[in-house]
Amino acid sequence: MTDFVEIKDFRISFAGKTVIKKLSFSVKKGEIFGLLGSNGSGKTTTIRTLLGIYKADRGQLLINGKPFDQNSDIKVGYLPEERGLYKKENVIDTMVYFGRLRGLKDPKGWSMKYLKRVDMADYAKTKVEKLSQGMQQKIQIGITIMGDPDLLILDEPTKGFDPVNRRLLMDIIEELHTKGSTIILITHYMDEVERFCDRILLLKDGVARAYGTINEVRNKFHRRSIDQIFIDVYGAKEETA
Amino acid sequence: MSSKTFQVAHFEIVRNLKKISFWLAAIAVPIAMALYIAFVALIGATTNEQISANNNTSDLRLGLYDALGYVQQYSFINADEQEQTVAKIASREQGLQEITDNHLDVLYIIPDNFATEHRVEVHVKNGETSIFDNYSAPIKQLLNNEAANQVDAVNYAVIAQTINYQSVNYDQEDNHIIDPSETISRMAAPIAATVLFYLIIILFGNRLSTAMVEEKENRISELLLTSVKPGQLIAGKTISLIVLGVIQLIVLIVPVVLMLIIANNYHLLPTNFVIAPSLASILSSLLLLFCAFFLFASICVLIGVVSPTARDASSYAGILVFSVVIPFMFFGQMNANPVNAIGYVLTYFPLSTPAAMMLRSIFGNLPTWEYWLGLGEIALVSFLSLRLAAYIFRRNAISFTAKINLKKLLGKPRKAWKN
Repeated sequence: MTDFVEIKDFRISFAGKTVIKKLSFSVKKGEIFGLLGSNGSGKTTTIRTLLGIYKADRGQLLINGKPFDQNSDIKVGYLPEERGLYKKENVIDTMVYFGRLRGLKDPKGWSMKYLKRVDMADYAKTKVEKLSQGMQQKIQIGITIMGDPDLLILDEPTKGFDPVNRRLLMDIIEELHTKGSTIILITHYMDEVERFCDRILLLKDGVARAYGTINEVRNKFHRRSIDQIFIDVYGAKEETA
Repeated sequence: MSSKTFQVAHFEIVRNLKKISFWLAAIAVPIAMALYIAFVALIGATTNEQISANNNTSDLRLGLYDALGYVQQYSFINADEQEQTVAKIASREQGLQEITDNHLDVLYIIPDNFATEHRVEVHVKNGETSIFDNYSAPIKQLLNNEAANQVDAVNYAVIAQTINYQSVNYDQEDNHIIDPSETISRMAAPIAATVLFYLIIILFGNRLSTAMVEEKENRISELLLTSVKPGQLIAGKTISLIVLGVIQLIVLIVPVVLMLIIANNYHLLPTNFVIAPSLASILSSLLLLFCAFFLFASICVLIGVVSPTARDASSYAGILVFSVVIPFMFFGQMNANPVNAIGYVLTYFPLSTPAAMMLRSIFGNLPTWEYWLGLGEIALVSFLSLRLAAYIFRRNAISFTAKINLKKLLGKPRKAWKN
């Protein structure tokens, strides 16, 4: 598989504090890649820099060989950690707006199909502010996966979901993966990582502590579960991968 | 305009047009104007009726005690245009007794110190004390008649200040006589543009300043930024604000024009009410209004971008509105011809440029070259504001709660994509 996302010698700091010291990794086309780390480890910063929201102090962050561009042919779906919707708008109008921005030919048709899939067709005309947090999250995920993106970046997509909806979402992600989407998954649920991810990268203090396939990481740390490896890394003193 | 810019503009226009608050704000002024006119007309009619009723003295018994013997003629023309006589009273005591005995309704007393005090007493039996009472009209007429009899007509007109002064104004360039209606016509379009500019700021200012905050307040910006560039988002938002402003202006203007047409058809306007602004005046005022609104919208977008919340944005917009009002505080300086230093400063200080130019257009002291220079400045400042807004939005779009830190926002950008 070819590298779809390439990050080389990436370094970034804010207000004199270095968040990412030196980070290099790649995501191969068509794989599900787990970007792991505790809160504040630099996962979101890395993604924001990859998408051009932040500028790196040093290094290259490329998608399909180029810096990210909203007008490029590569379709990127990003579900950010900090996410919301136009609260006063109804569900279908919001989805159609994002669908148009993403260049869908039939944004309304696509949105209604998705709403049926997530059992929310009856809420199409409901204002977003009237929906529960879980329902709003389903709409945000729908917006993110519009038009079957080539690269899907999901920052804690199942946060706050009940088990039924978590399963529903993971089924959708698997389906997109089957269709050929490359997926970067940021999550704190290690069972999701073990079930879905082909490869992972574990960040701590702006440095990669573990990087490779699930089995490679397991073998390196001599542990059976990623959960235990996570605890080992975050419980341990400074050491490099 | 890119497709995404159009989509942003379309979304913003449609969702604002669906809001009841937008239409309420748009029709608030015409409704308020209609209510005000109706109120004034009603009060005016009532007041006139009341004054007329109080002025009508034909049913009243009037008496005058003149201690000086100044008044010779004891009759006057009353409100019914009938000659009415005032009874001559021999003494103050007698007059007051007749009021007490109900033989007189109104007693006028010209006291013996009238020549130095210029004061006449008016005693009214059962008189209603209100602002409309005007029992002094008959004695005024008697005194006026006496004054007119004692001096010649010319001196009387001068003293009574009834002389008409007719001005004839000559054009500075070709010396043709300027018709007053020509001046009114020249001022009409700039006045209308100025009024509309201020109305749109009052009605639309808050919406303008908070338009860019919504994405940050609702945590939408990061979700949006993978689909649309900051520049496209800001351009789309600005276009939508301008279109919505124009719609609001049309909603404001149409009822006023309709009212004028109806008033004209029913001959409610004065017969010499002829306002015929030239096409050039209308077009230049419209262009200035458009550019002024564009500048205001651009700066409001910039304010929205740097403000973390709608509340902060509204506060900053208040400062902007104040700067727009400043030229009115220097009304006299703006009216000077040639314009003085303050006038020039206000004309070329970007935030006050539109209002200063509008005022100078009204007073006719804005030469053509200054008009185009001012428009150029407005366009340049608007463009730079939007560019700056796009730059800051990219850096500040996901600072959802932080207060503005200009040093951080405008500081030297990091070197990016260095190999």
